[in-house]
Amino acid sequence: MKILVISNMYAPGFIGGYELGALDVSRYLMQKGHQVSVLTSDYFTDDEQKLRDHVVERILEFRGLGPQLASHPVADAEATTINWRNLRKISSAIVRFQPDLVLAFNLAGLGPLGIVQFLNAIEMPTVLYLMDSFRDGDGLARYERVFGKFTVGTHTHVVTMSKTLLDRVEQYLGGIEGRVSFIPGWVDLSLTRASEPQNINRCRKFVFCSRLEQNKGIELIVSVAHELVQEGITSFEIDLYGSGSELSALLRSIAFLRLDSVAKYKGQVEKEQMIGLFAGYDALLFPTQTNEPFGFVACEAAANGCIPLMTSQAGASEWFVHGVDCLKFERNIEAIKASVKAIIQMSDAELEHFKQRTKLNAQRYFAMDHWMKEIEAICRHMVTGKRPVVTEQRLKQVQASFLALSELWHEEILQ
Amino acid sequence: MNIVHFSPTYYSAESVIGGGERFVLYMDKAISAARVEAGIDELTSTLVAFGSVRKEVQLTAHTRLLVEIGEPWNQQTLSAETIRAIASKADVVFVHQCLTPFGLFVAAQAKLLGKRVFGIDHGAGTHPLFHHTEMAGKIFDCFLPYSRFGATAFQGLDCRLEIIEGPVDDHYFTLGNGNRDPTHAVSAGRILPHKGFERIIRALPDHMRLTIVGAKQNSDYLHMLERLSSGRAVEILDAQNDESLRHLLQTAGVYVHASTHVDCYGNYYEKPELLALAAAEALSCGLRALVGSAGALPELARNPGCLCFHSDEELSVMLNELERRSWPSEFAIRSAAVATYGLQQYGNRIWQILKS
Repeated sequence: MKILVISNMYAPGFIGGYELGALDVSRYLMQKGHQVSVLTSDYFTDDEQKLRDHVVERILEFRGLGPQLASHPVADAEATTINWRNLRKISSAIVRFQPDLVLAFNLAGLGPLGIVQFLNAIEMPTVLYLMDSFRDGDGLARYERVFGKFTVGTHTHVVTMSKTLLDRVEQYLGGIEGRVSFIPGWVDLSLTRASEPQNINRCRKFVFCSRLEQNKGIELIVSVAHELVQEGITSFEIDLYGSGSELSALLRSIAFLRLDSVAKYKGQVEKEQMIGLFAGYDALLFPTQTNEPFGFVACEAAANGCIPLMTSQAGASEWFVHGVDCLKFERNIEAIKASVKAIIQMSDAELEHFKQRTKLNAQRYFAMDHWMKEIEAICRHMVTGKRPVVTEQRLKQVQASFLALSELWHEEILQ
Repeated sequence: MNIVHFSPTYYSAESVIGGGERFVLYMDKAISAARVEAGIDELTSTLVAFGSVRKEVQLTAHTRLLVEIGEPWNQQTLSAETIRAIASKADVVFVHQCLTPFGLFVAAQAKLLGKRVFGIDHGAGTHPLFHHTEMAGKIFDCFLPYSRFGATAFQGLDCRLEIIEGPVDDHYFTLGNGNRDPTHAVSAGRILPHKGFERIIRALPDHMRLTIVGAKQNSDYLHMLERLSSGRAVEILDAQNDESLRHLLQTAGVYVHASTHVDCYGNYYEKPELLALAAAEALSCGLRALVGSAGALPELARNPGCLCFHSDEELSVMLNELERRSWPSEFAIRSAAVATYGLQQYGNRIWQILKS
C-alpha cells in the first residue's frame, strides 16, 4: 500500500505518546513493505536527519502549541476547524504520491474538521487514528453552518485508544458515524526486562514518568508523598522522570517540603531506555487528568511488572482490571494516598504475585506486534477492492469548493 | 430527472420583479418544453429562493417554488444543511446569480455532494475570488451566459462556457390581433437609473407618446423622470401584470431599451444588461425595437427589426425617422426572435449540454 501519513507533529521530536505512536506505526508499515510518506508541520525539525528511512515533508501550518505571537481570530479558527492552505498542500501531496490510503494521526491545530471532510469528499480511504481529542473550540457552529454538519463520513475508519476518548470527541462533534475500532497503547516487548531481584522487607519503589505538567498530576504526587511522610511512612521512594513546565516548581516543592529522601528527579530518559527501567520499580504513579485519552506509559510499565496506579477515568484504565493488574483511584490526594499505602503495606509475596500477574496480562494485551498487525489489517481492509477513484478533476472540484467556502467563512469571522 | 434551481430572489412583488428572476421561470419552462424531444420522461423542477417567510407553491404540474428562510444577500443567514438537503435530491443544480457570494456558497455545497452544477449570472455582483483565481471556476461544470457580453464575466475561469441566448416565453409573447399605434413607444424595466429612461424621454419626438412600465424601485429617479415628463405624452406605470405588458408589446409601434453603463448621476454599471429580456419579449411579439449600446444590447440588434443607437442624438433621429425606414414584417421579426431566444431552442441547447 501507499500510505500518506498526516500528523501535526512528527518525530524525531515528540511531546507525548501520540507522536511516538505515530512513529511506531509508520515504521512498522514500512518494515512490512508499504510505502509511507509523511506530511507534517515544522514544529519539530530533523536537521540531523535522524529519520533517514522516512519521507517527511514538514510543510503544514500548525497552530496551537508553542509561542503564539498574537491571537488572531482567523488563525485561531483555522487551527481548530479548517485551514484551506493545509488542504491545498494535502491535495498536492495526494496528486504527487497517489496514496491508496491516508493515515491521519493528530490533526489538532491543522484544521482537523476540514481535513477529515475534505478527504471524505474526495472519497479517499482514511484511517483516523485518535490518540487524543481534536482541540476543542467554540467555532463548531459557525463551521457547520458554512461547511455542513461535520461527519467523518463513510470513507473513514476511526481508530480510538479508549471509549473515554471517543466519548470526548463525540461530545464535541456530536457523534461519529461509521466504523470504529479500539486499539490500546502498546509496548515493544523486546525492550522489556526481567524483574530485578528484590530484598525482603525493602522499601517500595514508585516511578512517575510523564510530562511534568499539572494535568499529569505531578503536584498530587508531591502532596501524597508529603502526607505519607507526615504520617511517618517513609518506606517508599518515588523516582520522577520527564520534563515540562512544572519542573522548577517540582524541584522547589521537593526541597521546601524536605522530601529529598523519598522523591528524586531523574531527568528525561529516552523511551527505549525507560521501558527497561520500569522493571526496577514496583508501581507506576499515573494520577493523570480524567480525560486522558490513554497513556502509553501505563502499558509500558505494566509489561515490565510495574503495577500502574492510575486515575480510574483515564483511557488506559479501560484496559486494566482494578486489583488484578492495576489499582485505580479517583483523582484526589486521599484516594491516591490509599493506593500508594496499599502497595507499601502489601506483603512481599503478595506484591510479587501482583507484579507478575500485571506483567503477564500486559504482555498478553499490549504486545506491539499484535496491535501493529491489527492496524495494518484495518488499513488493508480500507483499500481492499477499491482502488482510490480520486480523479484529478474531482480533487480540483473539491479543493475549489473548500476554497470558496473558506473565503466566505473568513469574511464572516472578520465581520 | 430532478432539477433544482437556486436563486437568491424570486419573481414576485414580495421579492424582486426583474429579468433575472423572470429568467428562472422561463428557463424552467424551456427545459420542460424541450424534454420530450430530449427523450426525458420524468421531470421535476424545484425553484429555490430565499425570503422572510417560508413557503411552497406548486407553479405547474412539475415545478414547485420553495422559499426558504434567509436573507438572500446575507450569506450568513443561509445554512449549508438547508442547501444540501435540497441539492442532495437533485440530478442537476442550476445556480442563479452564480458569481455572487450566494452563488459561491450554494454551488460549493452542491459540488461537494458531487452534483452537476451549472452557473448563470444575472448581474448582481461578483465575489473577488472569481478575479483572484481561475480555480473558482472548478466549482461549476459549466457556465451558461445568455449573451456574448455576459460571457466576458467568466473570462479567466477554468470552466466550460456555453452561450445560450434567451430564453423568452415565445408561447406567451406572440403576435397580437389588433393594429399597432406607430406613435406609441414602450419601454420596460425596473425604474432604476441605469435603465436610462430619461434618455428616451429626452429623445421622444413631439408626435409620439411613451409608456414606461416597471417596478418603481427608486423614488428619486422616479421623481426626476416625472419632472422630465411634465407637459410630454409620457406615462410611467408601476409593474404591470404579464397580460398588460403583452398587450402593450402587441399594440405599440416601437420598443426602446436605453440602459447605460453610466447613469444620469454619474454612477458606473459594469453589467447594465446581460440580455434585456423585455426587449427580446418585444421582438417575440413582432415589435420593432431600438436598443442602446450598453452591455449585451448591441447583440439584440443582430435580429431583424432591431436597431442599435449609440447616443441620445442617434436615438432621437431613429424615433423621428421611424416610419421613414423600411422594417421587416412583424412575422419576420417574431420568427427571428423565436429562433434565437425561443423556449424550444433554449431548451434543446440545455438538454444537449446536460447530455454531453
